[in-house]
Amino acid sequence: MSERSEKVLVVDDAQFMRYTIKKILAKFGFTNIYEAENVENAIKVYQAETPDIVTMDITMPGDSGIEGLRQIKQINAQAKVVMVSAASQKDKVIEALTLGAKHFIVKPFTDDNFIATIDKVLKM
Amino acid sequence: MSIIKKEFINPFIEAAATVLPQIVSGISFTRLGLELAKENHASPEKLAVIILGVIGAIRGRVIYILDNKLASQISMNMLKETCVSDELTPLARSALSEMTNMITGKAISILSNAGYNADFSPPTLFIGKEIMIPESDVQAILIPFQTQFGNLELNIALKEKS
Repeated sequence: MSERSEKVLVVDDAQFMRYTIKKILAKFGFTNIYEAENVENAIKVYQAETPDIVTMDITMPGDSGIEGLRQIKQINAQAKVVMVSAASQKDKVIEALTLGAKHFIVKPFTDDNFIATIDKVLKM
Repeated sequence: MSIIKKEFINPFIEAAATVLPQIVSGISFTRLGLELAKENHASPEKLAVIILGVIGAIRGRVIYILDNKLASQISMNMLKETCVSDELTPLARSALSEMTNMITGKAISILSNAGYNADFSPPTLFIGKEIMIPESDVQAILIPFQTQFGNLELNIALKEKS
């Protein structure tokens, strides 16, 4: 597996999900992986590292991932944000896509499906 | 005390049946039926108890109650580890919480597609003996599942927003 240089920011309050996503990314060659457990930290990391792509959980204590998406889009309108959620209510999906999310991944997902989505969004 | 609607129960059964085999390979489970949950019930056994709140068009809470052995097996399986430990690490606890997040998320999606637009809170996990299950103003329903690793119960108390 060749090394990949794209920067990925993983935002999720669940330690398990950050661990799982980082493991998948590492398995597929990503080396520049950053993480945040809430929106506040995600914004700090985003501004410091300007990642190529962000995976954003929706249901988190404090600000939701939808608010995180909104704030990242205010910083960079071209930001590539993929929402990752256990729920796929139509209104949430529509809201996220309207705010500029590039994709919506529903948990649980397979390694291959997850990385295919990341690759697809990175090529946009 | 009001009774929970049947259409609020079935999505959780469907969600558990869909999500569990996806995240716990090789798990075989049987639903043992439905029963009214006992009030103020506290088990003498060590359990993992995970609570999620539901808000929106439907309000209430969903509680997942797992035997300690089942909790260990599920977290081990989700983490793809080979060694089962009775003491759950913070990462194993997070995996267990995520399992309930996924099942609840799937159920809430089914309910939303049926016209009940709802959302849910992040899970809160407790581990120990004599954990008291909180009362509700809706009669809670217990959905017991039996697996080869131990028992899982869903204690659901939901009602339409008045």
